[in-house]
Amino acid sequence: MAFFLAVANRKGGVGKSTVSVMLAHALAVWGGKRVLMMDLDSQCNASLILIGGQGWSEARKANRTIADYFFDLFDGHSMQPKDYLLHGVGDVAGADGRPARLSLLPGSLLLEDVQGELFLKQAQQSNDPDVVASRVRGRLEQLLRRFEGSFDVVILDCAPGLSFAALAALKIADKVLVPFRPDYVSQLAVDRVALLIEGRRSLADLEDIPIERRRYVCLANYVREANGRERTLIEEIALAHPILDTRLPQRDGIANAFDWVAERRSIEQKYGNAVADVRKLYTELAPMLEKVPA
Amino acid sequence: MQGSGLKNRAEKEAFYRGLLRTARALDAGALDAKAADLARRTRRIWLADASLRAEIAAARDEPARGSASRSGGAPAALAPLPAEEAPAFDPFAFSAVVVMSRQGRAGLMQKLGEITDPDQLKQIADAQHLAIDRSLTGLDALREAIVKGAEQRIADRRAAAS
Repeated sequence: MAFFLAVANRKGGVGKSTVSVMLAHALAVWGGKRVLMMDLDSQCNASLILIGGQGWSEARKANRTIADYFFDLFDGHSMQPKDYLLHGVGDVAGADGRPARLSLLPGSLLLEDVQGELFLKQAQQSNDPDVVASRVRGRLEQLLRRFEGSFDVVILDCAPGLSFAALAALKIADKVLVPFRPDYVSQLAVDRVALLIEGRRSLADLEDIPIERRRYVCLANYVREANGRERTLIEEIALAHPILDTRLPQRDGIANAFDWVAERRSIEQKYGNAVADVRKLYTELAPMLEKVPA
Repeated sequence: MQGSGLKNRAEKEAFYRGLLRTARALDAGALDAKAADLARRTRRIWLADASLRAEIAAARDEPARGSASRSGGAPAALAPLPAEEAPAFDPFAFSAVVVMSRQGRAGLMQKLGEITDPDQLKQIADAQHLAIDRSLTGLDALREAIVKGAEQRIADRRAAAS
């Protein structure tokens, strides 16, 4: 059964997609895992990084994106979920030179629109908006879980904000990774997404859950090590939330890695001077991504 | 380029020997070896202060202190470099909010009590975005204001999250 890892933050621009792809590469290449990336962000950054503009355009034309998947299967039509997946994606090869075992359900610019349409369709059956919203979320949760028997890790790259798909992802996730930039507004965003994940109303309520038992962990991203202000903010976030020791720096190797190249390279070649950062993140997070046997 | 250049090997060695004297980890033999190595690797040294030339000229013929074969009286030394400057004050050495959260008012006040320069207290407030009255000058008043500023930040965060 797959381990579901949601990568989420209500705030945009914190590096959710880049961290998602970094982990997908590391888990597939170093961990030997069968990894599925589900791109739940209508910006489609994860898809562009993994299959390039042309690949993504082809998926859209073939009506094989996450929006199509949700729309086509919502009412139980007899489409095959596996037909929406692309396999062997990414421009990283394993140690044996073969494509990493990484699959993708491509993102769609229309994801928000489709979610709205599904809501309206369900609203025809009930005029209670809470009931309708619950039905839509519940069905999306089922659809997100559909692949759990075929992969070891499913990474849910969530959009900023709180769409039905993002809420569904947070609900089914075994673990939520919350990347953040060390600045003041990010602190508030982390607080709020943590409350949502744990179903609490205030930081005081959240303290009832021991930090080591929280369902999420935070990751400081775009860190400038010599910056005292950032270091202080990270410490302040860590007062209330579990936080990885790994700090992802602002580094060329990370920024450059997200140009998709039509030729597979080793993960070391792809990440260049950032490969040690990727390794550190993978080494720290991978043990948390094992399912506890029932 | 202004200044004065040292090209001569003996002058360059004398220059480096003077610098390296402040490196306490080096014994006399290691100091001489290091100075010789640096002089060999350096094509020219430009001095920002041309008056140093006289000192270097005086030390140029100084026997290597680590060499047992040389004799003579105590060599003329370059003027010692200024003592290492005290490290600049770091207004982020500790987080007032973190200390307040973990150790309470008393803990933060105790920590601030280790700082006896009002300007440094103000630097902490500015750097860590703790609202204080900038006209305060007394140490106790500044410490109290920082504590209140930290309390306010904590309350602000809790309010935003609820």
